[in-house]
Amino acid sequence: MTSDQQLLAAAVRGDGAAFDELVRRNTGRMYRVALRVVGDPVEAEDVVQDAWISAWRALPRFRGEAAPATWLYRVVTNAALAHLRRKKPTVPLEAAPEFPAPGGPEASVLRDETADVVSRAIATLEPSQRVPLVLRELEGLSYEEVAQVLGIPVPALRARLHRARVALMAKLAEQR
Amino acid sequence: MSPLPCGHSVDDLVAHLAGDAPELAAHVAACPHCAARLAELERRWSAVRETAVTPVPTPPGLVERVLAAVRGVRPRPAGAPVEVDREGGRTSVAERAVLAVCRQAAVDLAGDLGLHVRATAVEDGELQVLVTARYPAPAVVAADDLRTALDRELRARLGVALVVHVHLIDVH
Repeated sequence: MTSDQQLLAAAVRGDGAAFDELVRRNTGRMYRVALRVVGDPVEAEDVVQDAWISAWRALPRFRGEAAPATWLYRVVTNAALAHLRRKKPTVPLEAAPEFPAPGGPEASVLRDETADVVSRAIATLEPSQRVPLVLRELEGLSYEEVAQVLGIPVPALRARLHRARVALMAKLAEQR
Repeated sequence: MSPLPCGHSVDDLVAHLAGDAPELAAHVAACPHCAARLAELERRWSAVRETAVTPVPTPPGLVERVLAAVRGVRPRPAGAPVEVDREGGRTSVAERAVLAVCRQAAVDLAGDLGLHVRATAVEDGELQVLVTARYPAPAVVAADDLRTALDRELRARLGVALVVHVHLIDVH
């Protein structure tokens, strides 16, 4: 199977079909990141569309210095941040439900509820904190990968992530 | 934030939970103050871990809408110009130019009507716009208002008449 690296290289040479295949393979991940950063499904779809259009337009400037996944994470997080800058302040957290207890027969429903509570809490954080938090703690990227996506040194990322985790824990504590 | 009686802080424990403070491991394992606070932090942290493995389904049709949007901005050698009626005859306008203007006009107008533009396409010289609405917005009326407003706006922006279709595909 053709790798994303090969598809991206072909897309840079103007191969639209290769770019379409990248879209098919990666839109799910792009949507997941967008949703977790902007916190709203409808807005996340807009972000994904904007991100892919930006990606297409940025192809001529892609020099292959980043892995396709890293480049796409950068494109979608930039689109999400641009979206957040354009929109008004987000919904307050008061209406959020309390943490559900883990386990039990409705485990998957409770898991969704837990994810909802955490997502709402993330959506109240500063945008500059949301992105590293989502990439590191939810997407599971390494510090080095997140630093590359954000274009900042690893020590600066560690400091930003620490503040983000502390803020998230405080938000989650407010919901109890 | 005030420190625990042992001198460490909740911030320290958060760093410990994230695996960023290995030097604290021995202390935390033996400290009753840290242990009490850590139990609560671990419960919250486990919710984050759980969220990380909770699947996020891709909305149906999103890939197709993205592909349509990308194709709208992609140069196409075979892209025939759009023939539009104009006073005194017909005018040819590059399809990309028409689509770019239509998409922007649709997005600009839809927001005021409580609608969200999901995709736009020009097919056979007619504009197709897919929109969603948020409940309880009067979606059907708003979609019709959008069609009327778009028709007026495109005449103003392009100076041409274009048949406009607005399709309401979902209400959230």
